[in-house]
Amino acid sequence: MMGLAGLSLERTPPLWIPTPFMIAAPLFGTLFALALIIGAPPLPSRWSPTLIGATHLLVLGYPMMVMFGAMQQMLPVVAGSPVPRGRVVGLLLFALLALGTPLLALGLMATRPWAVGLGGGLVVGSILLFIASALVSLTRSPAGGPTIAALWLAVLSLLATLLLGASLASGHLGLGWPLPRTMTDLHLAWGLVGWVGLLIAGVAYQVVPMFQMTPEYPRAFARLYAPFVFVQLGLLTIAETGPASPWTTALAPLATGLTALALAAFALVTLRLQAQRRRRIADVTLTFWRIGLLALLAAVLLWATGSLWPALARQPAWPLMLAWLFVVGFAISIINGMLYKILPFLVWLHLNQARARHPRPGRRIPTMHEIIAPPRARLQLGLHLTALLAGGVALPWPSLWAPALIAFAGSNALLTWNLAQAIGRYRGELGAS
Amino acid sequence: MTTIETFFTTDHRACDHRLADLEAAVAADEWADAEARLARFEQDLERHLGREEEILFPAIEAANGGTLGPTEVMRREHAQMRALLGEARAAVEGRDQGTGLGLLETLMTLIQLHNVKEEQILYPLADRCLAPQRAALLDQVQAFAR
Repeated sequence: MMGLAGLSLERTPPLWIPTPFMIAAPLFGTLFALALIIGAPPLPSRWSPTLIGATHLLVLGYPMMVMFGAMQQMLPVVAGSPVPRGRVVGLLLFALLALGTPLLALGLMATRPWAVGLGGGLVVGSILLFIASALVSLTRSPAGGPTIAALWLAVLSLLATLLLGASLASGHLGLGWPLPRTMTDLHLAWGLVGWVGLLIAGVAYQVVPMFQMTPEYPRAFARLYAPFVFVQLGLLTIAETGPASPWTTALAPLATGLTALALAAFALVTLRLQAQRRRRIADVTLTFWRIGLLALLAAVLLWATGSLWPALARQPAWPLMLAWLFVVGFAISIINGMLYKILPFLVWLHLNQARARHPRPGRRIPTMHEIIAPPRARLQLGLHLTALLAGGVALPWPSLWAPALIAFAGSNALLTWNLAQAIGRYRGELGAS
Repeated sequence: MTTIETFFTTDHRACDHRLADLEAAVAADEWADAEARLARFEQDLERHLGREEEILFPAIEAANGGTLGPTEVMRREHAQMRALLGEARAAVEGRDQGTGLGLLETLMTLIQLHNVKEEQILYPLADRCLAPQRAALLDQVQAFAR
């Protein structure tokens, strides 16, 4: 049995460990938009090198970056088990990912095998280090329950994404084995639905009831959702990679359909909980969550429409819109909202600890609203929503794609500024104390 | 059967709801209401903190050979809550809505993160290491008033 002495309920990592991840992430969002504005025609093909490169700039540089940083903060709280060697691991994770991502993206965009190899190698190193440290922390955790299970499955999905991605990238290195396009679909499914989707679910079980004071997720749903999705992804992989037979031909659409249903159920259950919340104030974090869940529903609907009406699915813009709704709409909206809770609170917490060491009577520590002013956050929310909506309807109206990217670049520049000035406030307060 | 985990978790939710009600009154500029709700929240929160500091934590510490570690961290976070609550009282009395909402948001976040650690880790641990004396301890906790 886990004893009291081995239990850590504190060990908050120093502020400089998570903050670089959080401030750099939206900058990668801006870079992604600029790369597409400058480097690609409106609504490029999903197989165009520019788009593949830019997509990696976005998904590695933004959601992955934030999640790597946030897990260092979250594991001590929800798992009671900090990441081993937190400082060194944090620094290495950030350095490898922040250097590797732009190199890999440039290599993919400009078809430079050396950059794909070098950048990809750095990214692979960062991801492997993350997987290893997260698994050590989860294995040591005295806690159980749906969140820990979802985190386990998310990390295993990341491993699957990495293996598929590395073998796809080796194709770009000219190693010359055939790259069936179903491999790309599997890479996307494990990365987006498995890693991103299950991690968000694990976090949602904690933060949705906690910050908005909603009822808890229904017990059966919380317990079954992540394993169910994980099993579907496994079945899909078997169907797509196994020897062709009538059995596997039927399995692939079935597993995809059940995954889509599960995602829709997650969105609906969460929206319903939020509608029953006790805390009536709708803060910017709640609004971001709702936008994210509605975008997830829209993505599922668009996918279902394309499946029933193949003429739509053959449009080159269709997979692009799916990815836009899922990554920018679902994942980034929710991440964006969480950043407005996490960073101001961390600044407050660390100021509190600093003040405990060097008391300064009569000087109040700034509140979370003074660290990032809500009107500033709402302005950025407006820009994000504009970008999301314009990009979301660019399928029928392609002329809205460029304005969507410009709004997205602006939204993330403002987000970086909002977060960076919070750190500035921290430094200022330290100097004053 | 009531466990330490279920009893104290229910107590958390009751305090959370009081805090949400207080925040709603401040947001609506209903200051007389806000003062009444603040008093109720203070009373519930203090009773909860007292139940832990005076009964539960000493029992956990004794059962673990006097180890302070995690309970000490919890006590420190209680002190941070009390400091924020004091500032929030001043803001409510001074009818300062902006500062009040900022303080309540900060207090709420602090309390929620604190609750996660207790509900998912500390209480289950207490249920295991205090199993023999649990019924007596819960009687004592229920009788506690402050």
